[in-house]
Amino acid sequence: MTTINGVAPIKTEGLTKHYGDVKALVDLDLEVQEGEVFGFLGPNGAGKTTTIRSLLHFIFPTAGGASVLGLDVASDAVEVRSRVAYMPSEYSLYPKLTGAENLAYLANLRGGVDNGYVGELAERLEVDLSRKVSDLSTGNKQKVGLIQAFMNRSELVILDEPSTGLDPLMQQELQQMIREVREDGRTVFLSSHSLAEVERVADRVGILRHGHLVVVERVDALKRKAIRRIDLEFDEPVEADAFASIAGVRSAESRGNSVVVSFEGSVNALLRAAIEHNVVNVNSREADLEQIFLDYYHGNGNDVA
Amino acid sequence: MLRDRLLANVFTKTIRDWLLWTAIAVIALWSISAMYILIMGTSGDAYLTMMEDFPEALSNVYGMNNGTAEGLAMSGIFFVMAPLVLLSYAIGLGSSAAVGEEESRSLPILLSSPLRRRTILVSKSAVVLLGVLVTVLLTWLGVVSLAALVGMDLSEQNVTGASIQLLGMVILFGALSLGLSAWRGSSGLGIGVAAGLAVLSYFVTTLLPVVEELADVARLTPWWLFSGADPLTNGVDVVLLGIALLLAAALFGVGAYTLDRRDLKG
Repeated sequence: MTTINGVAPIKTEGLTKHYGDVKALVDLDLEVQEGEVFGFLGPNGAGKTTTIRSLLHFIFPTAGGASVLGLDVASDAVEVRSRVAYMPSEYSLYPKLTGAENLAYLANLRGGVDNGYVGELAERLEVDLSRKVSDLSTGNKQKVGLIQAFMNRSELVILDEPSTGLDPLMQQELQQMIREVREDGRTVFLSSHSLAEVERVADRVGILRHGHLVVVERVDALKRKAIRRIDLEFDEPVEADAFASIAGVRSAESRGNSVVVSFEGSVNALLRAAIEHNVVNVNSREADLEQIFLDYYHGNGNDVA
Repeated sequence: MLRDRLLANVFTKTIRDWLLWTAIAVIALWSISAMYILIMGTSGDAYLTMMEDFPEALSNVYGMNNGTAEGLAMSGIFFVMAPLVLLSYAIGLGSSAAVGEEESRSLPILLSSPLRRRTILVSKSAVVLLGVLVTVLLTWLGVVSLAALVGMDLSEQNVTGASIQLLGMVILFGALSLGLSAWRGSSGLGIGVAAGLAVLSYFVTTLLPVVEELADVARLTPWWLFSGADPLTNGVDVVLLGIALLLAAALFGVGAYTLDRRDLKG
């Protein structure tokens, strides 16, 4: 594993947070590697923001602990935040200040930033920083929030649902900015409920469900595990049972002269069984990562946390 | 530009944010003081005659003092109106110092900077304290200047003593609002309890002494720490002032301690 001086940018051990009877986060063991974009996926309420707020010491864990850049998140909270950039999922800027004034204030609290870089980011995100934040649209406020997260060139950038309110073009720009952080050797922790957002930039993903980490996997490996579907069309109806027992087949369903098969792994055995009949057409669909994601969401995936 | 320079840190930005409230408080107190001084300066004797027939309790509520027009003006300013304005200011901003950013959801962005929670609390509390000091100072200055301008004799009135004694009580109620808000993360609790207690203790302190058997109960209220020794006549009571400031320090300490040890909202 790649680490900074032997320490992971983010490491949690048994991190647990309960709110009364509600188990927001349960026994989270997670290690993020240096220089990667780590996608942290889960539906709303899965525990993503709770994890992040624990890492920044905004909330106290019920059990377990965490370190960021090798520093204990509780005892070294201020130093952690001096080396980490953070964009919350829900936040408010100072509405009476302009975008530039908001950024100047936050930059001053960190001892200053490169103003030229701030201007460059504003240009890329096409936001007018001279306007009062109260006059900005939701998307433009989000852009100001993004600039504050990227302007510090921090070692670790934590983004919680960063594309909320951004149009598709700006989402692409954001993805490019995230890639640039990685190319710079820095680390991004990207929390999102949208697989599509994470898939485009993340090296690895962790999927959280009901406070439990159910899988951590490389995006390409996750795709290889994807359940694919194949439509086999014959010249006459064929019993689906003929395919259901083949290794890797998850389900087989007859639809008129066709059989729709969901499977994982090699297609060889399936094709061998198919050509025992008179095949008219074969229609294969792309690996459906979204389906894997939903399977993990709903508890159908193999828990490998 | 000065306004940009005030974005240097939490303390200076808070000054920038709350400058308007301070200006409003000062202007309100100057206006009220001018009204009292001008009215009592010209028609004070008529008011005194009218108030001779008031029940003692009612006279106390109106802040009647030592049977002179000057006393009536100063007690109206320092025992009624100035506490009203200054307590509103200190209770409101005290709570805001503790949880204003948390409730407006700007705290996550602010705390993404390398700041301790306590640093933010201390910086903002210092601005409240500074605001109260400046407002009381300017009120004192306004009262003394205007009285001199219209020829009102304040030699029998210890305006400085009343100002300092009032300062102690205002700081105490501000700290109560701050401490409770910081503890629970709720401005409603801090403002509600502090304002409620202020109103209750005002009436207890002014009305109960009329009933001999209940007079001592008034000594248990925070308002007594201000008016108990009649500072407008006798000057600053150091013991009562010290108690008020010690209580304020303790409440601030509780607020800071609990804020450091609770989950932040939002």
